[in-house]
Amino acid sequence: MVDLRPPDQVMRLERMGSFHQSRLSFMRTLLRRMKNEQWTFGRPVFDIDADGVGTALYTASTPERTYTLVAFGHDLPDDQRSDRVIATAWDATFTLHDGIPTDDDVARLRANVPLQEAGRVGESELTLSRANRSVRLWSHVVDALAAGHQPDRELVDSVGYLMRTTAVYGSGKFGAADRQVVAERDEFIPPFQVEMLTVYLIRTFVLDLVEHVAALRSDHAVTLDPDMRRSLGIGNSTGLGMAPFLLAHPLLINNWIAARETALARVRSIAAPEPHRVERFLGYVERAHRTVDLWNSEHPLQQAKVSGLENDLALLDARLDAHPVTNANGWDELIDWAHEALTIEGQELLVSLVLEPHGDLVDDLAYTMHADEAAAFRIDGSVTVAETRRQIEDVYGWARSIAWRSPEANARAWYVSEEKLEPRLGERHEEPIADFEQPLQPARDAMRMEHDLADADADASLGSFLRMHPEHRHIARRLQVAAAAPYAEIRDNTIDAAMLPIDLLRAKLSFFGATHFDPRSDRWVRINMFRGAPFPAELADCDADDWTYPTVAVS
Amino acid sequence: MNLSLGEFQATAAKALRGAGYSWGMSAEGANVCRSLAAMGIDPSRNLLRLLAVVDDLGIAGLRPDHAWATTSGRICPLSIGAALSDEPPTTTLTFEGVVEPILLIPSLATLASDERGFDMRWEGGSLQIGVDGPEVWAVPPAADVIIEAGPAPEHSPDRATRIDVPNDTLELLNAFAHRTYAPATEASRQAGAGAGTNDND
Repeated sequence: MVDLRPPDQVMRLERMGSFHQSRLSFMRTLLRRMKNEQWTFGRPVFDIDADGVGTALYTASTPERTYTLVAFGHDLPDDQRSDRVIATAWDATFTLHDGIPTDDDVARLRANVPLQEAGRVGESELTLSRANRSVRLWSHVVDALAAGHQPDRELVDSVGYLMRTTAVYGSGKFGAADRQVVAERDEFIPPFQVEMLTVYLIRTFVLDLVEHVAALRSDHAVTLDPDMRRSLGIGNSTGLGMAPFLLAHPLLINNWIAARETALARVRSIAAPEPHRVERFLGYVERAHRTVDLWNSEHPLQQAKVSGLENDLALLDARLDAHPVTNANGWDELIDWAHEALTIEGQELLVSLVLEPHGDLVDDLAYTMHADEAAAFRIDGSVTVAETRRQIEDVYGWARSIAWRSPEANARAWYVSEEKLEPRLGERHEEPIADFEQPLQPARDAMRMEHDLADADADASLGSFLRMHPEHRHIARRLQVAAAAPYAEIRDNTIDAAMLPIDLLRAKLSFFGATHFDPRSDRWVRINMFRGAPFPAELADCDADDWTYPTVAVS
Repeated sequence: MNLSLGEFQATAAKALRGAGYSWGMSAEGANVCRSLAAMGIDPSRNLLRLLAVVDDLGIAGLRPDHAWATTSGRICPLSIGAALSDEPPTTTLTFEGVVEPILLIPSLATLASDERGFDMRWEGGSLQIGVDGPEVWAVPPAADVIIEAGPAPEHSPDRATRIDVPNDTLELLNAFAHRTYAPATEASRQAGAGAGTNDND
């Protein structure tokens, strides 16, 4: 098999900040499973008034279990609508209940879920979430439908969603069940399936809600044209809070990246690309043009990336005309060419595109992306200081050339603020935050450990070193994980003056399956989820895995 | 309050850090607390008492040197547990003045197997520790402790997935955790999270 791309190439923030959704993204995995297992869906309660206030329940049933999205609609004054985690009220709030809730459960949840962080859910709840309207598009769509006609397609395309979630808490947060409680259920083995299921049902609720509100407003209201309906995803607005996750879960991140890199290597290893697969690939390339057309961002960084991507697609079209992929080793040669010819954004889009026609070859990797982090927790203290130095060389050798005492290399500090306990990123030399620094700068910390290891006896054990130096314990643990898991560690300085937190956010969100990354700043991004995906009622009769690239507009 | 084990672990980690433990030791200690909770034991008061001693004597005074001695004459169970976890003991070990020795048990349980466990003894009592901890939990708040290899007790594979922590204890743990948070300033409020644009669009 062709070698996997090396971590020094893949694990750079610039590249991670250019990742695209793929067949292995968690939304895709969920929809494939729903389709294959013929999940059934229901809406046993939909009790909502013309202002959008009320309660709705949506059920999703696997062959063995039922999960219920409990949705509460609220009448939110405009001046309270904020994407920030410090908000205290929302247009709609949600929880995913494990099973079918009783009336008592719904009453209990009604007293807590609308409060979000200030409320409590219990072990029968798996997630806690909320969403706000896109005021502009929501009003337009309600008005249009109530007036009996379809909304303006251009406006619908330019926003892409009617509501955006501003948090989806899972795994034990605010009283919800720990991941361990459900981790062994087949449907939740791949990462973030609970959260993706929640978001998928939220999207369904939002589309039902907009049509419902329009219908209550007028007798001649119409429903959305099915094609336009599907083109609406669910937005998400994500701040810095998500960024530490990538740094705090090295083994998990390794497994995500390793799955995608292994998938790529499998495709590159095909000696004789089959014409029917190449044909499908070319169809996806054509549709990718439309994805790029629909990718709106006001942020100059992203605008430059999107315009680079437009150029990349033109180069790709020319390349595919001149060098058919059906040539021997055509996939491998195409990827080699891309690494020379395209922007990083274009290279990573192409990685996702070549996976598309190879589901039978790569989809099994979706079930290798979880991690048993508890099993990797114990430090092996019997390794020698000498061996530990060698591991630092392997994993963090690149960090030796950084001038760690310079203000630029040491510009930032990650900390948690007193207010709402938000993770934040500050300027170490301008704010009184250094004493509160979180351990989210592994490269610097590895260099500090290496410095102290220089004074230790080479044959001494790591355990004896750590007894005298407990301040290095976190990085020693991380080093042992990263020494055995090539993609566990980011090969960049996470406290550099020029570091862009949105790169961390995008890497994670691309694995979720998000599209249309629209940074609002260097540390805040809006995205779209499930845009183009079939709704529950459509799943049985359509391809559940052919929705992430828009079909080419006929006009 | 009824907490998920993840919440309890996160609270313990922050409280330990707030009391002065290193990040790596805080993670270790929080893991110990979660393990005890999963074994059906609420260690929140034990943790709180340990943190009070740490506050009183300073973390450095409780940390053992290579001969397992400390400057204060009292020794941190989490530091012992971490050291034993790093390099499993091969001989009988004696620790003088262990604070809250119950917090040592999960580290030993992790090293135990179906065939092999540990004996933990102190004046007037002893325990046999296997992969699921001991069968009976009766541990003094402080003791000189002897640890040596022993037989493995029966499995008791029942695992708790929640913990009820008394509200007053939780508040005190949160007070330690609070020390890890940077005071909010207007500058950080605006810049730190990076938003500030109009969300009414």
